[in-house]
Amino acid sequence: MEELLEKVKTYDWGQSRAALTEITEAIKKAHGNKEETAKIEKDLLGVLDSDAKRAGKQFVCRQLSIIGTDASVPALGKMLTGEETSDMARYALERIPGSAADEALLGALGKATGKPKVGIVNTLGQRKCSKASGPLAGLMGDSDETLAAAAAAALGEIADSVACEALAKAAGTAKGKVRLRVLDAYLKCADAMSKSGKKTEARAIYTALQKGDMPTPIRTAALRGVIGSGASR
Amino acid sequence: MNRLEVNRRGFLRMAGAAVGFPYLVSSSALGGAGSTAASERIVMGSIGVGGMGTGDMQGFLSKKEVQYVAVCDVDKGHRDSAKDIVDKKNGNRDCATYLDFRELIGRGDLNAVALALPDHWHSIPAIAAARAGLDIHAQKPFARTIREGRAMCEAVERYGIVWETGSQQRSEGNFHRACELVRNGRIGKIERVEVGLPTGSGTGNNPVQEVPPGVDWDWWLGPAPWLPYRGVLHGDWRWIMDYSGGQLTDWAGHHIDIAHWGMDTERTGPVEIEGSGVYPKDGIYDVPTEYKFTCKYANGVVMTVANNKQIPQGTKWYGDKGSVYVRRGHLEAEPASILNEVIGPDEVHLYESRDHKQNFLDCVKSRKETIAPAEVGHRSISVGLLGEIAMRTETKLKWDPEKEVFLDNDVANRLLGRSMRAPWHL
Repeated sequence: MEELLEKVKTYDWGQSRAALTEITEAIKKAHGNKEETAKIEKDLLGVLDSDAKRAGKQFVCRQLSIIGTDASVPALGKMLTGEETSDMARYALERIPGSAADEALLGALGKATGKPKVGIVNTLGQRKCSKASGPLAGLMGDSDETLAAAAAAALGEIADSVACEALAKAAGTAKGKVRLRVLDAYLKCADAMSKSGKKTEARAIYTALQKGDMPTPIRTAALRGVIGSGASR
Repeated sequence: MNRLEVNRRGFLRMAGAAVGFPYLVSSSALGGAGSTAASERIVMGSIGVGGMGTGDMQGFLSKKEVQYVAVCDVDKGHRDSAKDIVDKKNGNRDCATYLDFRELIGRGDLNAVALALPDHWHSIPAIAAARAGLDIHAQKPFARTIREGRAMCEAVERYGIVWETGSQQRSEGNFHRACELVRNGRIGKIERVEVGLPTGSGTGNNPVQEVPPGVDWDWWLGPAPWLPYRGVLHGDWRWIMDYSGGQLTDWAGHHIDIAHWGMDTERTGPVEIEGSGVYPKDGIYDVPTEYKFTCKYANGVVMTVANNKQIPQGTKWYGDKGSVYVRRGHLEAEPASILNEVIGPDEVHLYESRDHKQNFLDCVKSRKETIAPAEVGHRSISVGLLGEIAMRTETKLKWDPEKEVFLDNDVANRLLGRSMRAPWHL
């Protein structure tokens, strides 16, 4: 493994990936063996901590997305704010279960800017991280429409009470391309409520989204929501 | 189209989508002889106009009720040639071109879009179009990951749009006939199913190189991990896992789709999956070239999926009274007399279409479900994706087709979705 890892450190796109394949095979063979995967994880983290090229680090992150644990979180967390490293770090962190990954993402949210920040927002949404609902609610009013829309979409994925309340407020104030994302996310909240048996709360949202000033697709979806949930009966 | 027309259509569309009645009302008085009245016209645009996308676009352009107004592609060459085709058909130079699919979707005058993109780009534009209330014809495979596929199904359901997957074998007579014979017990009780799909191949380690003129590489990559351009573009993307699952996922949307139709498992999935594949050890291609996996369904039926060196290409159902085998241009049964069977009026008559694109357009007008709706397309590709995960983990996996999660397998569950490169998200 040591020799293979050295090859990963010097690997670049366009070169032979035979050594990478051997590592992938070793990971596959170690499936279900916690001791062995923990050893491989530790070895891979050594590459992240080296001056390996972007290609090698991306390969490592792909493997950590499969076998990564809390042990990988500190190294990946440090990569979240970097323009070249944020996406590959999220590729791993998004799949690593547990609160340590959530905390790392939340910690980086306040420090990141530009695309890395948008990416962190997206990952928090995909992880349905309830602790992120408060910070994400604040980002819906950001002057960067891409970030604001991403925050709305993430809140729609989380769909907890804090998220739904924030989206209810934003539904009346959001403008431009953010508005449709907010309304879509708010519909998802209603759908989640309906699914979990909170029919009355869901109906209140669907009713609000049927008003005449709402875009036609939103009104259609709200009407379908009422019918689908049996809330009209 | 005037404002009154937009409002009338908008209202009918909304009500139709909600309760299922036609929204395009016949108004022949507005159309001249031989032309289609404005209220019956379906205004369309295409996102992705490479080989497949141009073929789809030309298919729709040949339909009298379709008016094309816009095309979108990340390759300027594709955009320009698609525009030429549309303009020639329309007799003007008005077809708009877009690099950014969001601008096409946001035009406000479209009824429907045709999507034909690399698999890693299937979910985002589809969900954006659904959110805008547009009906969608989209190429298979349905989605690159099971999580994306589920999000697409939810968006289609939420907004009440009409969806048709481009699994056109459903609109071909021999496939329909095969499935109807199986569904009506002509082979007896189904015991097992075999599905053969094409075999893949590897290639060398392409060097990093200049992006061809007119191609926006960042847009082409979209939500996929960043990589420099290495000569893989139109067509070749299918052999790289970031963008596709190779021949397996390309053809799962056809022959597994047909297998499910015959098995009556179109809206569910297997409960156990197990298999292995042969992967190139080097080179830019990394999808399995050879593969074989089994899927056990809740009723005990086992479907085996493999490349065509191991199982003949097509779908074969084996029952306790015979078998039926179907592939493109071919249908056979054992005993052969099964093919003479008549399906009685009180038996199962499957949805019938003999023109896939016309079926989509008819459903846009009627608001009925197409022959290849979203949920069915999702469940078809899910089998290919589950097989992909089983081969990557080389473990016998237990799957809950209702919740769409693996039971007691953390690694396999991680592979149900993947992070998207910023700023992209569903």
